[in-house]
Amino acid sequence: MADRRSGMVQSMGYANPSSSVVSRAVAAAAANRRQSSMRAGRASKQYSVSAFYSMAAEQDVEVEDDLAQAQRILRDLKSKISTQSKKNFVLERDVRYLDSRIALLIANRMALDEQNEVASHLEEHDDQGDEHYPDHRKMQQYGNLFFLLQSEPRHVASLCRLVNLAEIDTLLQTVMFTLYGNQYESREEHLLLTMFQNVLAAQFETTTEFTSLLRANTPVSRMMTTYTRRGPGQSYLKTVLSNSINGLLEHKDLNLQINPLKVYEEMVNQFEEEGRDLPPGMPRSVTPDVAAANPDVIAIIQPRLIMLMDVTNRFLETIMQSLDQVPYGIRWICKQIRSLTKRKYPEATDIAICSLIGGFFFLRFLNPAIVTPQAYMLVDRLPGKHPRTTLTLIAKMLQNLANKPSYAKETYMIPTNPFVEKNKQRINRFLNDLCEVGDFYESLEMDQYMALSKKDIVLNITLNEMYNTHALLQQHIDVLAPKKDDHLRILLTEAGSAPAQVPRKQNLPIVLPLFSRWETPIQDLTTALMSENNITQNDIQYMEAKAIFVQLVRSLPYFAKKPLDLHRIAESAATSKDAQMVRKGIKVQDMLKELEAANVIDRKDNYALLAQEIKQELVHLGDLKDRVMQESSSLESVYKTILDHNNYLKSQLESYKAYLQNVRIQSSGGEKGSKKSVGIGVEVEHSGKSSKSKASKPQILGPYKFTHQQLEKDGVIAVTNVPESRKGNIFFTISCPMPGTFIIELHYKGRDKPILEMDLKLDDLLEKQQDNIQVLDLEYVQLSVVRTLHLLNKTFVTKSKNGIFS
Amino acid sequence: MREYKLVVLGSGGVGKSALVCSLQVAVQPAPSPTHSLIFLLQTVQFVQSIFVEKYDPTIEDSYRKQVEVDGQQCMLEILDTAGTEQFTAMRDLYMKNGQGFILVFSITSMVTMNDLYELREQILRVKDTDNVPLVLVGNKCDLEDERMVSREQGMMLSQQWGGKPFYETSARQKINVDEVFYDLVRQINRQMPARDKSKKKFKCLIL
Repeated sequence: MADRRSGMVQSMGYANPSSSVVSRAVAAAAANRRQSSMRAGRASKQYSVSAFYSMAAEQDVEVEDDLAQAQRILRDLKSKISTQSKKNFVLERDVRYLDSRIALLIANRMALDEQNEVASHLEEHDDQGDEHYPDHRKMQQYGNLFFLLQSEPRHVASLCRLVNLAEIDTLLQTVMFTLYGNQYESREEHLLLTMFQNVLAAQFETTTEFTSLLRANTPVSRMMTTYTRRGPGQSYLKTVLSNSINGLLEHKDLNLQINPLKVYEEMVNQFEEEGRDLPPGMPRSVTPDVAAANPDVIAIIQPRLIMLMDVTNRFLETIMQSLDQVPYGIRWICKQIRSLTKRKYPEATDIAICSLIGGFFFLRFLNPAIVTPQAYMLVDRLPGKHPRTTLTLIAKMLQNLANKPSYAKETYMIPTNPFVEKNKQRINRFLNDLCEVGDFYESLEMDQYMALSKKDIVLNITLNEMYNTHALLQQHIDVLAPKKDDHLRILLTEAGSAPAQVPRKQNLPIVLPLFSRWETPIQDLTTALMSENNITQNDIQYMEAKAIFVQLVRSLPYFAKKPLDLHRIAESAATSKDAQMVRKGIKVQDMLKELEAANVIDRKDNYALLAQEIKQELVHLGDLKDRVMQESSSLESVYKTILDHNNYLKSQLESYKAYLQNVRIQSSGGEKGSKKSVGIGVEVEHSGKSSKSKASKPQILGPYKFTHQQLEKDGVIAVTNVPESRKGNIFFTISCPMPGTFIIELHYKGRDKPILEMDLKLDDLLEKQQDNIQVLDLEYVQLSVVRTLHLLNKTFVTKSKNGIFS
Repeated sequence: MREYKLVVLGSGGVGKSALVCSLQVAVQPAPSPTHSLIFLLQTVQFVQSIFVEKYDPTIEDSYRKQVEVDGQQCMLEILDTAGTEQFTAMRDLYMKNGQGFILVFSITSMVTMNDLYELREQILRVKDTDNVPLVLVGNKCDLEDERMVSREQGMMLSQQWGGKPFYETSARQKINVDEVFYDLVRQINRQMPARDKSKKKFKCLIL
């Protein structure tokens, strides 16, 4: 509330008696100054950057200078965008503040109208519709809350670890299809994957049994399921599997059963169906070995086996050719599994790691779709008995290939081993190739800038999703945001307790406008990921160290030409002349130490794992200058957009101010009868930008006089400190110098000047009422907010007959 | 010889396959791979950060084992199912076909027990009856140090389910494994006394 008010102070020039507001505004201004001076400091170092580049690699002087210049332009742009978006933020906050005021006044006005007319049906209607529907204010609170959740994935990531498996489905549904529901937008995708990274790392941290990570049903496995069900995953499955599976379904009589027992059973059944007795020496039920030794069975199985391997081979072929079509997020998860495994289990062989990647890619993604294609909308009818068997066998063979067990639980699968033998090299390469995608940490910052240019972010969300998330956050708030000034905690406290889930019929989807209560600074990786309760510090540090090294090596390209010596790179950066490089260099040096202390990396092998991953990243990133240029041009348009938006906001603010004044007049000026005051309102609108004092000679209403006794009797005075004997000497006057503005004075008989004077705006009062502030403190007496409103409405708006003229 | 269609259910990694594989068979044909199967259980585990190479999640395996229960020879057709939750769409079909169910959790994880509620509900729904031959199994009882589910909690759940039998087993040390299967066979015998042709009986069930 106070934040909003400080916005008012700045933009509207209203005097506000609250001193805390002033100090806030001052503090904010100071913070701004500090920010901008920092920025200036950074900018002034630009020359030394380019100097350093040329020093570092003399042979490439020209190239480096171009690069340095491009980087400087990029940084300037970024700082301009930050400044501008900060301004926009303040403007937006003011507009929203005015908007809420206007809404209050209109609501008040409507309530009065309803009282005058008999509008019972309208009320009834309202009651029904509004029962579960959040009001304007609740919408704002949820808008703030979900903005925070969306832009800071760490909260949801922590939450995912805290909730139980029964609760997680609904939560993940909300997170993956609503909060980060835009599956084709890189920012939401990246934020979602960041969250994934967090939960995945936490799982690695807490699990002692490594396989259970990929076997047991855990939050991670739920996330994987839900993630693969998003658009890109589904359309991939469709592209890759649909044709092959539908082809199989068409041959509904093609029987590829290779289990001797089942084949034997089929033979028995055939005899029975034909009404023949079983030949002697052919018992109804046999052991697996007897069935497998039966010559007829062998004769039936042989061609099937060849056919089955052929079909499975074709599936495998299609899958392997689809490498480039595999959605980025799925490949990135594979990459995470590989990276985390290598770190946690250094002794793991490449084959073992591949089987874990296969444990995700095949077991959790492809094979479920192969065995039950109907559940993935890949086919339009249920597979018949034979195709179902075939599909299951194909999935089992693919899984065997991915896991390569040296045994077979089922004896009858052993003959399919040639398929595994023939393809195991290829599958390992494929699974490794899957992991070859770049990280998106580099883009995270860009994403944030791009997001700044987005106006009117909205979330399509159902009431129950909103309330459920609210309830879960509330339940775990002490872990999620233990500190009193945590933004999440502040928002939750304000939002109060979570509403109960609504019946399905009332669970309407709503369009929730998202906006931030606070300025949103551009965060680095650690801020985006780390939270108070984080147990994945090492992993996040590792990630960030990697990201910083990538940046350093790209800025010091001659290091990339040799095997990466991370120690030296960090040192060169730390002792360079560029402040930013120095900062990064020192930071990454510290990180190396910490990571080494935590046994994540080892100096003895020259941080081989980390260096290798950095090298891979560099390959994915391509030319730095191209990238910088590309980013610059994107940011150029971001900058333009937010400048335009700034102009738009300014004009919006002006019209809102005028509008607010107009509504105040209408609200307090009464019915159509008082055209004059409406006229003034219009005049205000036209009389130009400085709406404040230009309103020429407003018509003053009142003052109306009220005695202490009367107000006490009517309940307007809720608490009084005036001694009984003096009550007779106290009276109040209320006047309305300007529509919507009231002056309440407290007089003592015989004195000229009032003892106390209070300037009150109708919307202030309405806001108090909404905030559940019961009383208005006038030092000697406390007025009931509700009753005062009633009194004002009665006296000034509906031209009451009861008002006492002085 | 009567045939029994049994289905083993439970979340991933609770040791369903190990349980099935360590069931003693009456007639011992014992092809060589079977031995390594029993051994397999150990390889599935990860202890601390010692990495064991193999793990082998099941998609759907079927076994046929001949056992002797109360002097009767029985042919068990056991369907070992996927614990991986992504394969839930397969459940309906094998629930329809099964006559008795073994619901397995691991005593080292509360979550795996909670997962069984949903499975049981689904069985009752598919079977459309309140009384289905069923055994509740808490596996890995050799891992006493890692126990997260008490014996009492298991008992309580089985009582909630209308007094279904509850066993704590160790597939690794072969504790109580056979008893689980015998118990289920007895339940089926009680509920569906054998007719001359068990085959036909089964066909009726499908319809």
